[in-house]
Amino acid sequence: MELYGIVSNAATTSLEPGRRPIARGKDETTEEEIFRSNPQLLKLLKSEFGALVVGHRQGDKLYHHLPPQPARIHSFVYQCSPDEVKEFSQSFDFLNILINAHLPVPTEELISASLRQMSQAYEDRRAFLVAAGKELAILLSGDLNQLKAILGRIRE
Amino acid sequence: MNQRLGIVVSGSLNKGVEVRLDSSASIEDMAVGRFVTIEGKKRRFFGMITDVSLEVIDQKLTLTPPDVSDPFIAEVLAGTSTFGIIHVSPQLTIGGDAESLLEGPQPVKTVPSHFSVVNLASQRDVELVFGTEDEKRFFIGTPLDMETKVCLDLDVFVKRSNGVFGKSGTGKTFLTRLLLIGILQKGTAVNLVFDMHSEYGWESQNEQGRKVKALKQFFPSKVAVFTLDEEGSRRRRVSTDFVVRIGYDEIEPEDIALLRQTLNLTEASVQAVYQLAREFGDKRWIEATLRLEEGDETKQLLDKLNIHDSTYRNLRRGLETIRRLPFLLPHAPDNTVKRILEYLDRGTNVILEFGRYTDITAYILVANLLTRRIYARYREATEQAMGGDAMQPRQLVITIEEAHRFLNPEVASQTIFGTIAREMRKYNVTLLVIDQRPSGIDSEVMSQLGTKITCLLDNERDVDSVLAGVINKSEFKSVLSKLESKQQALIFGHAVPVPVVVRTREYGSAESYKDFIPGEEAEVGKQAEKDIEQLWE
Repeated sequence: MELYGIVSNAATTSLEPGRRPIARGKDETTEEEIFRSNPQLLKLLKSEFGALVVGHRQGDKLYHHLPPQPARIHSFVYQCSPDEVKEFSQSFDFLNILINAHLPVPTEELISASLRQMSQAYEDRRAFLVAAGKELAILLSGDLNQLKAILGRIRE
Repeated sequence: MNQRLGIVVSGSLNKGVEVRLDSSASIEDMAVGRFVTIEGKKRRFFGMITDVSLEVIDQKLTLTPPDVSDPFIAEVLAGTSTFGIIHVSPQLTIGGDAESLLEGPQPVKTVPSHFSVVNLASQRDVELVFGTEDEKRFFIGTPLDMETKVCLDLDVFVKRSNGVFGKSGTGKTFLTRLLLIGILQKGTAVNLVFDMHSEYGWESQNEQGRKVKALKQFFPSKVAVFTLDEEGSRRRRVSTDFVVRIGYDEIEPEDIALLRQTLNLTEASVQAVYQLAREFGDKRWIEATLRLEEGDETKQLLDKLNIHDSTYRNLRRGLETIRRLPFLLPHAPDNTVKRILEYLDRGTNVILEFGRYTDITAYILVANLLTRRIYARYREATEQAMGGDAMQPRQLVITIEEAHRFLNPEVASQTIFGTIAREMRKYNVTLLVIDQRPSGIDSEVMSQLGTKITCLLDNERDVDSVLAGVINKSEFKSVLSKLESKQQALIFGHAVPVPVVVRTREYGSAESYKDFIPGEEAEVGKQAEKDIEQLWE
């Protein structure tokens, strides 16, 4: 079983929880030089990203809803190829998951960013965005301000 | 290919169904009066668009309209947040199975289920409903935005009285000419036309000043033109068949009673007419009354008959008006009624031109007088036929213009036309009523009209009276008031399966004439065939 997710959050923090990185590089001229003179930094900082699961694949079939089990620990994560993105975005059912997700980032930002990303897999980007917009117009019929915000962010 | 419009979202049998338009269908392409089909689960429905409206998914959109100058936003919102609704009134069902295909379209008794798909009606659907041109069906026009022919079943049409309505200048005359040509071409009835403005027999001019041919030019052997105004007809180079003259002795008291309004007679004067007729006899009374001179003798007579002096003067003034009509003579040289009936019996259509006597008094007097006699003869003939002695007389259609003068509520009960409209169907006589003020026609008569063909009408009362008794009246009101002022008409009633808005077939160009003649030629061919067959017998 493969899970599909949309990156919803990314952060670089200290390895130790609660410890904040200290400002460095006062006398350096480029960012690279900071790491050259403080090689330990690469070991002390970690980058994490969170992904919102929006669907899964079982056998040949793609489902645009949550999988029966969560992703296993230590599963490998890959970036989707444009073809996979195209296949997944044939249906807009995942939009409903995005709309209802409680995330630290504003929903409309996430939705518009993911649609912009997906549209790059298409030759006719506009047609894809219009179709997605129409789906959103129905889903967000009760919240026109949010709809307007998303449409404003995805228009070409 | 069927063009998909949308899906049914709500509705009722009484009020029609609401159809939500797909975003691909532009609301601006929808026009009231167009035909659609609805694909129900078990049967197909055939209906007409009767209203078009704009809807939004959320009222807030109307308060803070989105920025539609951006084509992207406009495209996204069209059909989703904002959408069009068309109102469709289902008229017929076309069954899917073989049995219902044989039965043909049936009136609707239910509505299609939720979310049934609605398509624009295809040419084939329309053909299925209106039939194709054949021996009985006459091609009258095409539906809006379509090339299919709408055909009128003239056999059914002539069996009832019918009406052609419309404001002046909307094409009533052209439509009537078409209908008459149709009846002639298909031979479903014989016509008697009281042609007030001399437009049906011989060519006349249309509004652009071009000459337009008329019946006698298409069917010279089947049409006879009678005229009241010999000189006028000769000037127009019309080949007339008979000059109508009417004798005083042919005018009966009932004929005068009908003219009460136009002659401005009082009720008492009309009573006096009957008394005078009793005194002098039905044949002589007009002449005798007109010959009365001022003096004691007259006074004695009036006293005897109990006629008041003012009544007498009132009547006298009226009779003088009639006397001034030049086609009235003390004694007519020939019997017009007899002549007309002879022609009609032979199957020749009679068009009576009034020429310069377009005065309503002349029209009412002549039309009523002749029709009353013809009515009596038809009645006799039909009753004889019922007794088994004779053939049924030919179906006769009498065309009258300015019908509200004959059929207004005050006189409809008395005039012969009121009677014909109500009951003469049984005696093979029907009316073709042409009028621009249908509200002036008695509602009882209006309700008896089988098929109504109406061009644009904008007076509220006229629209109401034409549509009286129609189901979904308010829907048709909107269709009727949106007709174009030329070449468009709403046809509904007995001879068409569903109400239909047509662009009437072209009339007036050389090509349009060609289509009228083949029927004639075919007939000649048929006759020749028959003759040959008889030769061999």
